[in-house]
Amino acid sequence: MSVRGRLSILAAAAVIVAACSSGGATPSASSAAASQPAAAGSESAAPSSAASAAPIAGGLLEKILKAGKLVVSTDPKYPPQSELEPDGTYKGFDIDVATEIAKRLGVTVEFTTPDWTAITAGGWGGRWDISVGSMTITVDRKKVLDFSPPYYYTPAQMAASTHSGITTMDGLAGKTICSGESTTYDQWLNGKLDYGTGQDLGHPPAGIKTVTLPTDTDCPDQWKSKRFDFDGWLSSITTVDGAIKAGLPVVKIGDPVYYEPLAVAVDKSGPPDTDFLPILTKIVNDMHSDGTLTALSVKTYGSDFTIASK
Amino acid sequence: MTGAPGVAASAVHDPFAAPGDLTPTGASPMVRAIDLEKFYGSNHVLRGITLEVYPRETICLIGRSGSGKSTLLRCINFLEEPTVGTIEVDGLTVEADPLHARNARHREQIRQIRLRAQMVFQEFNLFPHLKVIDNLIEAPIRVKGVPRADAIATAEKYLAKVGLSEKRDEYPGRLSGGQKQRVAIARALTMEPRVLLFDEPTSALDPTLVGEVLKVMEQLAHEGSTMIVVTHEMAFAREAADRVYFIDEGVFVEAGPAAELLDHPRDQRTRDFLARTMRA
Amino acid sequence: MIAPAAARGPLGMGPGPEAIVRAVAGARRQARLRFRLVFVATWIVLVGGLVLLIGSTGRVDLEFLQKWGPFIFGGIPLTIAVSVVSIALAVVFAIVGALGRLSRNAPVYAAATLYVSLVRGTPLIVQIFFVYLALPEFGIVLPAFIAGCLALSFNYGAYMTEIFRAGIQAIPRGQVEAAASLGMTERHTMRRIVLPQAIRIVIPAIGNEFIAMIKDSALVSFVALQELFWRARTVGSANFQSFSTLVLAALVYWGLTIFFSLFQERLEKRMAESDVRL
Repeated sequence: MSVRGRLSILAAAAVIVAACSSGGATPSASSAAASQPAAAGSESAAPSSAASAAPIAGGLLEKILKAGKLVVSTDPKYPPQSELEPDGTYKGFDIDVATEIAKRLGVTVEFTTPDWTAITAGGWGGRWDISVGSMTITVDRKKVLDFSPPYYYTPAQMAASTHSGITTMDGLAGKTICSGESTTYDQWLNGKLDYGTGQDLGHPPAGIKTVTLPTDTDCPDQWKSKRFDFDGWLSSITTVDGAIKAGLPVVKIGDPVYYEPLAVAVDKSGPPDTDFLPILTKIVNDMHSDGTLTALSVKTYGSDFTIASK
Repeated sequence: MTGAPGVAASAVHDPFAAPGDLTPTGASPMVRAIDLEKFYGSNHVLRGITLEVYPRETICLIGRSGSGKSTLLRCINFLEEPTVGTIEVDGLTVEADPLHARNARHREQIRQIRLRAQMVFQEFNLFPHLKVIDNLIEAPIRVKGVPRADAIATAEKYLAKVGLSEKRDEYPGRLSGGQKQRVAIARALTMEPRVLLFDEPTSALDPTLVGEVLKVMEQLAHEGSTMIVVTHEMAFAREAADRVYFIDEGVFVEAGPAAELLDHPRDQRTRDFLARTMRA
Repeated sequence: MIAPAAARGPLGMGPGPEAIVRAVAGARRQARLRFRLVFVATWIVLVGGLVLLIGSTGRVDLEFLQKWGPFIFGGIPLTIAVSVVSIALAVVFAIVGALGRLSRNAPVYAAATLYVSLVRGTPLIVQIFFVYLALPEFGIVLPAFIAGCLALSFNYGAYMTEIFRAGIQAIPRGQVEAAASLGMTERHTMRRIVLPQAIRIVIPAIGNEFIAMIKDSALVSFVALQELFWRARTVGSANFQSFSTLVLAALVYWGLTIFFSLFQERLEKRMAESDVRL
């Protein structure tokens, strides 16, 4: 019957189109220049990552080398860590770091864009290999994720809407403060942030209430829309600076309240990573010592955030 | 009647039964309904019906609505499960078993009966999404396993018989009522059953279309099909039936050769019924 | 009104009946035309008002939209693909569910009823996350597109189960009796007689579900599928232009919905005219 015929052709065409355009399988623009195609299997001459022994069978390292690509999760709602270009490619500090890591593993890089909640929850199902997403190492997250050494440290900066007239930390006492869902900022505001290092991270102003929105930048965006359900905002200094630069009605309050170690994360419940983690660690440490990370940080932020402060 | 030569003496006793004009000598009944009772809830619709129909005869069942005539017909091919009784078609015997009506074995027996006793419905019940020819060959191919070419040949033969060859590739929606019913008859015939059951086949038809259907039915009767027809069309009964049974309140009141019953009814109830019907 | 002499009919008693019929038809046509014109004019006024209202907020940055428009529109094929695949699968789930809900077999009926109740009783977004994140715990890792479509179709299947059940029950009993009388088994009857007719009945309802599905496809943005909504939201969030991008996305969804609604109207008209009359 012609109607059924037409519908099935439409369905088939849609599936074909979907196969071509689905997912976040868009390599970053810079990775094309930076990466080298990987040779297959264990003879891949990974330049600086000394894979001395053969990778564990069924392990994460083997998976990456066999596929010749490193699949990285990213959330491009976070300039300048990660954002989109109009042609669908990605740019940002996290993107540069991920691309460099792939290069040092001797594979290409590929990005995918699941929801942040899915990334921090672990249980990735092997859908991507690592997360380079400015993720803070915390005790809770360590239960489900393995971390590399921190690749940079970001100050957590308190901010307020210009509308509120607040200019000091005391002015925020008793107010409502916004942060992104599943971020450490939300955890800190609720007194639940724990790096597991015994470090004292300070306390938020007294008597505050908290609210979360899907992503950090949604908070100042509401002020731009003249909604003032909350007066304060806690996020990374880079994100706050970015908002101010974009002309949003935001004012910084005080010094950074704490510094966060941000690291690359690997799913504990994914393919065994015991041979991959040392290599990842070495890569990150190398990138520190040979100045790559510093250079990238300065390029994006204008300062070097790669050294631990406080 | 025990006197008839070759008729098996049995426990079954339909006092009105007799072989028809065309019945081969010595043949035993093609269809038997034995001691049928049917309850709908507390409504006792059939109160002890015994009916015997011989091969190649045509029987008409007449009566008021609610008298049980349709119920009786529908019990023969088990579209209704009798409460008590036995049905026999072409030697296949199935006992009523309302408690185990869903039993697989019982359902399979019923299916075998239905292959031999095809029904033509008052509302035609053609399959609207299939062309006429496909309506006819669907069951022969998929139920009886007849090869497609043979099924088509048979279907076309019967379609010609009812005078609708040119409508072969039409959809039922485009046919008039009389044409639909004739297609329905052809569909029943294509299954090459042993007996045809007609459930008020012209009651839903516009009066001007009744004739074409009755003509086909008369022809079938004269050619020797075994037919049981529930109808109000007395002229048809007179013309085509060997015997007419009058049923009232779930029992046979009277039966006999068509002309005799219709012109000289013996029972008062029969007379009243016929008088009311003829008045129309 | 007495017609002029020239228009009088053959008996000279007034305008002939044919002239009157023509005049009435003409008047009706004019009335229909007038109705349609006013309809279009009203839409223009209302939509124009909306556009002006939104524009007056000053929050819609046209230059920004021009720059990012192509990228955002690039999500449309995936949105449509997810919707089409999901609705097709949903039909399968719905038929199975409807047969289960009509079954006399107690365990089958119970399972089908549980399916409908559970899936209609939990939020779709929860179901999507479940298929994407929880199934891997049991060793089932589905690619994002399949996971998204499976969750969507499983969900819509539960709602459409009742639609199909009603469709199947709408088939006149006579059809089933005729099939039975011809010796067909219940399964044969369902497959060849009842379902084909039921599907025709429910096609308009399926069309409605599809149009709803286009909007719900936005939820697969949570599972790394870069369809229309994901693109609008991501670009908007990153550049503090959510107002602009989400207005644009809303317009696109509206446009898609209108397009498919028109398509469905034509489909319904064809069904009504077709040879298949019940």
